[in-house]
Amino acid sequence: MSTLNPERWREISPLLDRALSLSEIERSAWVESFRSERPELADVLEILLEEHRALAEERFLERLPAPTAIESSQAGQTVGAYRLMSPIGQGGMGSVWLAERSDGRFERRVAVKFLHFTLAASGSAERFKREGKILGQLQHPHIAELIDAGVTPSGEPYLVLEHVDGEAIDQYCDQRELTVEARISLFLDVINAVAHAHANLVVHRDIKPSNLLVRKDGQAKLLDFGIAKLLASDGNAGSATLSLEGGGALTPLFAAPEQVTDGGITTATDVYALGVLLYVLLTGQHPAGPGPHSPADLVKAITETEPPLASQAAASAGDIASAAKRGATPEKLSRRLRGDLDTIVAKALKKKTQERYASATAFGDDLRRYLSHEPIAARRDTVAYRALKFARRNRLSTSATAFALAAIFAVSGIAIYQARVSQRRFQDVRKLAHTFVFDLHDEVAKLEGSTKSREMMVQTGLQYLDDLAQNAGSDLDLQREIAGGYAKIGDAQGYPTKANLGRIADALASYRKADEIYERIASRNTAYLPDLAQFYLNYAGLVRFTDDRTRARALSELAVKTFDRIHSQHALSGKLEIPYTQAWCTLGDLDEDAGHYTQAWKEFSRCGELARARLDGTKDQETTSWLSQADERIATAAQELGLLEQALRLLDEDESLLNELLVGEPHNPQLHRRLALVYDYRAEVYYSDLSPSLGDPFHALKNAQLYLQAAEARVRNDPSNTSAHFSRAVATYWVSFSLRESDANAAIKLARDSVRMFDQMIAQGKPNYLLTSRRVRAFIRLGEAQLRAHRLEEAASTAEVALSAERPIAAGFGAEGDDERSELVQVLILAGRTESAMGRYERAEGFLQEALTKAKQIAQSEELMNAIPLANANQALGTFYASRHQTRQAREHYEELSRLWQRFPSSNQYVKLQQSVSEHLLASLH
Amino acid sequence: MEPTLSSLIDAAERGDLLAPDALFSALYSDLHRLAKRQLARRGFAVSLGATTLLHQAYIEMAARDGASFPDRGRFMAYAARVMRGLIIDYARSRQAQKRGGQFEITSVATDLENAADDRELLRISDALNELSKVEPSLAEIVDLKFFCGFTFAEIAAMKEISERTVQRQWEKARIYLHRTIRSDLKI
Repeated sequence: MSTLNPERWREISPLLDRALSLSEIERSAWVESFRSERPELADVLEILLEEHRALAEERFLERLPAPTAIESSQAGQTVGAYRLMSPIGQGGMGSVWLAERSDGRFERRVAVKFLHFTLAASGSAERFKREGKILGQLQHPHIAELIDAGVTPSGEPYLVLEHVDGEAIDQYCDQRELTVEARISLFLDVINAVAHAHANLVVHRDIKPSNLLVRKDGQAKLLDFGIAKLLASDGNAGSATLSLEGGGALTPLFAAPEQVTDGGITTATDVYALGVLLYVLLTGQHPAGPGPHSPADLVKAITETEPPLASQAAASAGDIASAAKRGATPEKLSRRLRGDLDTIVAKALKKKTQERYASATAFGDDLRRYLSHEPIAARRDTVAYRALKFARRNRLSTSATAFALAAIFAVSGIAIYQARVSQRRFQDVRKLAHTFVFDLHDEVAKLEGSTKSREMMVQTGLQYLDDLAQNAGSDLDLQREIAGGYAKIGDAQGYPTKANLGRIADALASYRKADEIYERIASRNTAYLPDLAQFYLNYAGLVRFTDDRTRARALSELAVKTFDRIHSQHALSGKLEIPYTQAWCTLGDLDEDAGHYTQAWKEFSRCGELARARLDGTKDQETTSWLSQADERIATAAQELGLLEQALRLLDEDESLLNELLVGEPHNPQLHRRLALVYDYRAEVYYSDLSPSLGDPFHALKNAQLYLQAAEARVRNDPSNTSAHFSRAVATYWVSFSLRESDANAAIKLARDSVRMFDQMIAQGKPNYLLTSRRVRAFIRLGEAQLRAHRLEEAASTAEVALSAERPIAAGFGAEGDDERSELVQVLILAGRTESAMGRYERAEGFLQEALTKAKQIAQSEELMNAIPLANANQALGTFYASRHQTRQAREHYEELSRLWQRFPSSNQYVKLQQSVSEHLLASLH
Repeated sequence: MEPTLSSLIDAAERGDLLAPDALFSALYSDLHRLAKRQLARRGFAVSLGATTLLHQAYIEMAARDGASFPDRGRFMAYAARVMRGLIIDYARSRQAQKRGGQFEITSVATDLENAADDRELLRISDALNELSKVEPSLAEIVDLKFFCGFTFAEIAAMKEISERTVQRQWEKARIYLHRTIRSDLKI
């Protein structure tokens, strides 16, 4: 081995060039690959590169040499109104002096910063002073004030700044071993300062710890606001600001990607630097990983590499000292940072400016939310996440609820309300939680204006449950009780059919907790299976309201299977028969929602069988009610399958069951509503356009009128009942529909009434899907009636309105919206027929062809319901071409229609009817 | 007639063997004069930044020599060497005064904790002389960066090379200098 002589250097220099241009990782790989060629040179290279790392770390030669003062300094000189006292800093950008006012008017000490550049262009000095004044107007408790800006007689610009006697924020935090929370609080002061400057259109551009001093009294002060810009505006390149402080950071440790790539510098640049700062404060590490960083590596890191999450950085470092400075172990620190803080910091550090926080204020707001355990904005809004925050917040607000609870404690004689449960008080708390959750809530819910107290009860109940759950140990009965408590809390939070606070997301979170516990205890002991099965059923009901139909179906299937499992072991107890029945009906509901009519029909039938079997043994109200509900469902499913006679029979049975029930409870509004629905369904079975029907408008009219009367009665009894208003509007269009053959003008009037009712409901409340969709149906009825009355202009405009309302609805449902698509097909057919009647054949053909296209998009399963839109479209097209004497096209569509119905068994009454219609149409072409 | 700086630079670049020395001393005296005048004009002495001085010098000399004066980049390459000389001489004289024991420490440099040690400075300068024999372009970068305080971006602009190349050369030079100063380190 020899020293590094010139020959050796010449050999190694190009190799170093290559190595240094690579990233750290690529570099070692490259040296290894090189080793096979020149093992000895590789060794040397490795030693030198290692030395390079060490030099970068100790920042060798990165400080400027002694200032080039040719003469020694002379303190006591004055600049402007200030007398220089002693030098306090030196950097490539300039030297800084501590100074005081020379006129003795104030005893204020200031810092005078001489900027080491000369204002070359004429007028620059004036501009410098002017911009300095603007910056001087930036007043904020956490921004070091710019008092004055001037130029010495020799043309050297200087700034007079508020003197801040403090230390860099990172050192300050570390020395005082501030916790994560304390660091964030301090950082929020900085954010406020930056936000204030941004509001005044000033960007800092150079936020870093050395520009952020914290005084002994804990006040953070941001230095040098806008100065980087002030310098850059004199024609010094913007990128030079990266390393203006030559004596300090020579590498752009706090530079945003757009600064390194010469992109536009905006407020987002400061947001990024703040993100880096927060990262450093929280983890003790730089986002680019542990140093040293070569400038090349750093630029690469800034522009290309996603930094590790703050929590990962804290954990992977495993740096005990660094974590200790934050009052934690590395594991604890990592846990603290995981989640929200990770998300917040990552959002500030996004490479793309538009993905970062839109402002320093937004950044600060999220940190404040974090500190108060509220959901942060950067977080995806998941149910579990919000519920978690909800629970945390409640734990902190115990004192608020404690007051409201005092009365309850006094009554129950329990003198504690500490959330932490000691073993000794365990049973007391258990009893309290039980009383609280199971007995009190429902009583209170009956009182008007009890929402606020219910809120508190729910919060407190949840808190007790969380604590109980932590201490429940292996006591399965207690766990069951806790699970029941969570479900109960969930009901109170947001189970739509029970007294609730309208917070379905919170309800889901509580249900999830309950689910976990029920499943656990049932897996240990099958005695808990009935609890689990019933719970699944309720859970499915809740999830159904969130529109997660797949999950709801899975849950009700679990319920059925769990009941089956119990049933396979021993006969279901009487108590379980009802929920078992209910489970089948719920499963059917979900399958019907999804368009699986055959499946739904089978499940409803099973539900009906179970109810009937039970009714044979015990004739009670509840069972009767369930049989009635089963009948109603089987009837609708039967209609959908074209089993129209069965549908009518079941509706008759349902009607008599309901009348029986009404004898016992003559004023039960639910029973009245269901009775009205029987008329509705019956009307549809007789005469309908979107589902199989008997084509009998006369009987349909009778039932539709009964339905309308019942709905009107409900509106009279309870004018604020929105569901009654809805029923009335629907009933009105059904009456209109069944009248359209016999009295088109009356039908028009009624359909108009219906549209008006929907409009009113939409205007009064939030428009929802059901309202807008049914309003379109009212328009379809109106258009059909107008067409029949030969009021073509009106029909055309009705079709147009309906079409523009329906298109977004159908589009909104995408692939799942078969119902909505068939509605759209119906509107298009209406439009096409109207245009045809008006002699606008080209438009007519366009609408009808589109109807056919849309109909073809509807899932062509073996379901009868799905075939109807396609049949309607083909029939309409066939009729259109026939009227245009385009017999060949007409025949094609009629044949298609005929083939379509041939797919279904002619044993089905409805199918048989359709088959004969299509044969008749084909024959008419000859 | 006294040769202008422009003509000396031209001569040096043509390969005139005497020109570099003449250029150095011409620039040295110019810079020294300029520095003294600055301090005098200001009426007091704060630390005088090398960068400021060089910019000032360029503006003045370019105005004096007119259109034939070399561009900023070429000028700085020469001037940076001279500036190092100026700084080193100053450090030497401080050293001499300290050794003489008659000097009271009042200079800015000694008040600042971040300032590089004078003795270290002299060693660096010696090592730089070595480097300028082996790979002069690296030595130039060190002059500009370390002694004159120019940023990578500024140097890149002057030398019309990329900033990354400047950084790489700087890193390479630093390894060389450290090796040479710590001659006890063997490879």
